[in-house]
Amino acid sequence: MGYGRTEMEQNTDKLKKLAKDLILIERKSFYGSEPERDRLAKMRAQIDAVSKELGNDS
Amino acid sequence: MILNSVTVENFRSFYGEQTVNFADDSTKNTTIIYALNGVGKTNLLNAVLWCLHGEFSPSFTNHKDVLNWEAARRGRKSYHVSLYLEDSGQQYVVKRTGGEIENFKVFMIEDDGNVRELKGSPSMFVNSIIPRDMAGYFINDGEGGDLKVSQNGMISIRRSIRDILGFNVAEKTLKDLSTIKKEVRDELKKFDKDHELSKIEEKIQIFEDSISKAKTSFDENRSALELYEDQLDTVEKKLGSSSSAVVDQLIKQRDSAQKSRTARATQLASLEAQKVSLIREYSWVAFAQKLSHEALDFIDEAELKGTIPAPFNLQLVKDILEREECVCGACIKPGTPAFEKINELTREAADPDLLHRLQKARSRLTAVKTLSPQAYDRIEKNFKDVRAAQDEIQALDADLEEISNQILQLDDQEIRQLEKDRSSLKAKVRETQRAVDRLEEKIKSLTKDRSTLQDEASRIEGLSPRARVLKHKLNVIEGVEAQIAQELEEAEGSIHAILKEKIDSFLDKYLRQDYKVLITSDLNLCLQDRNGKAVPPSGGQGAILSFIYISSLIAIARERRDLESTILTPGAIAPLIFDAPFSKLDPKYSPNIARELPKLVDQLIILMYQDEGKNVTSTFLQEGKLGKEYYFCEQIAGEQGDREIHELNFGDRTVVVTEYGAAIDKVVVKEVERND
Repeated sequence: MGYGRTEMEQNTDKLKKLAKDLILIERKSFYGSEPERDRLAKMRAQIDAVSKELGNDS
Repeated sequence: MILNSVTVENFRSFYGEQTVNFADDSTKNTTIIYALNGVGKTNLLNAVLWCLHGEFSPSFTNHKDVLNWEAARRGRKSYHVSLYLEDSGQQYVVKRTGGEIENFKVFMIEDDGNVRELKGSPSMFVNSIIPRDMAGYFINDGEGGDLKVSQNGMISIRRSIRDILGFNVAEKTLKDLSTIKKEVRDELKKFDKDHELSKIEEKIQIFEDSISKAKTSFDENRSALELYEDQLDTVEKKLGSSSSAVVDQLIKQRDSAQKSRTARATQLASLEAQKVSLIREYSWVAFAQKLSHEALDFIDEAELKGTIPAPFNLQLVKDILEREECVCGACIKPGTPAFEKINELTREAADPDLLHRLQKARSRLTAVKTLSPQAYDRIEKNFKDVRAAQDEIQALDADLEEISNQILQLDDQEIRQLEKDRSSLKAKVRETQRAVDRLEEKIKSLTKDRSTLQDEASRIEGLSPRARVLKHKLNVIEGVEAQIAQELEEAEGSIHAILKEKIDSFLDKYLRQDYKVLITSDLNLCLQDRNGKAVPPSGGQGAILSFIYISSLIAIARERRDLESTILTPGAIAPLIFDAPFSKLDPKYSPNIARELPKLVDQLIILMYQDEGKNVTSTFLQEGKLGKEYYFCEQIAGEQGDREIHELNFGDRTVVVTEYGAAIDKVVVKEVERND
């Protein structure tokens, strides 16, 4: 992990939420309710948003 | 979920519409469907699976050739399956159409009987009831397609366990995150001008790949080790239970020698550890010994001692001389006797700091001189003890080898073979243990190196703004990966004990004491007979293992139905649909399994040819579990000629299951009517 420990601890909740959101995107594609081709773009967007948010926080 | 009925239309062997109403009573929860081989059992099972998930079981071939041949000949282009089901007290209809028109819908049956199409994704709805990656275990074609036999004859159930634990979505997410991470690293190369960070990230990627490979290899070796240790234990027990007095005596001698060897090996390990600690404690003494002799002769602090008593403040004396006035007020001018005397004294006086340092050095050097003989004695004693322990171990190894040779020369073929097996297993255990230790060290070292690189990456300064953003993004992805991986690791780590408990419980119910199942830590299993000999996972015993394994998976899925996890897919409660489950099973075990299976699930649907003396139907009847029975009647357009007419018996009734001279070829579903 590239994070400093304290920073990691502070951001765990946001990372947990991101993990949950990414799983949800994958789940919709895996179980056929949304097209598979869109999932990577959606995941990238989620990661960008959280990354920006965490970047501003720190 | 409870299946109320299935209606198939022009689906493979079924021409037109055919309906089966399943037993949905909580007590009489079992439905049996009898059919000759090749008439439509697998087709019906696949109709259910396809309707739910648009997929087929492994034994269902020619996926594009589903439309009934007769229907196609008459110009029909599509086939349909409708499932009426109940979940959490609510009725639904799942309808799927294939062929020229493809359609998939789910309807809710309201209390007033009206049917309303479900809003949202029908796939998500069906998968919330029975996830598609778990469906194959509930709707089982009996081919044992998932029983993957590894090189050492064990069955790997890790994949199945991961399916049942709901790992697939999380694993796929991790795979996608790895793809995204690679993209970010590639982009980083463009914005990291001096390539310092991207080079480190590249190395991290290599370490991650190596760690992953080493972990796989570690799991394989640990599993093999557990198997060899178990086999060795069995062989040693057999040797130990020999009725021959000579063998008994030799085994006792070996046990005693082995115990002594183990004790000496433990002692040797402790002496080796002591050696390291002694070297750490005295190595500086060894290096400093010669120096201490020379330096002590050289250092004579008496030479530094002057007439002004130490400690004194040299600066104070210098100030007095400079001001030309003593602290008592006396005048001390250059050239006066007082000035000359003080000046003379400071030249010869000891510098208290220097004196103190020299005294300290002398004290350390004296310590070296004193410690030298002590270090020598202690290290020599340790070396002597290590040599003695090594010699003793060598002697015990020779004794053990001699005992083994004596056993190998005995006039007993079975004992000789067991001894050979033992030697070979011992070697395998040693070799594999070494590999496991080596891999464990390798993983530790790789993980440490990766962590060092990650720290190094986090310390890099002076990145361009874009490179900083990308680095931060990599950190975020790694953080999410760690969150997901941790949950998967915890879930898999806790499943071994649960699985063991389930398997033991099903073994007890199905087979009593005839067999045991070995489960390794990385979820490989094998069936063993009473003598601990591995039973090949094919034929009748394979069927036993298959029942135990499927039953355990279904029990675990059931317990995980209401799992509250944001990472793992929850389990399922669904009917168990088994195609020809008893065909390969030893009749001795069939009644037990027939007694237990209906208790395992809320609804059981069995597709089979006929009982063939296995007392399956009679057991279901005796236990009051049989709710519905159907048979497939094959209607054939041609004349009978010299072909056989097949019949089935239900109590005192006999029914014909092949009818010749029909208008068209088709399979008709008929309900069994019993008089008894």
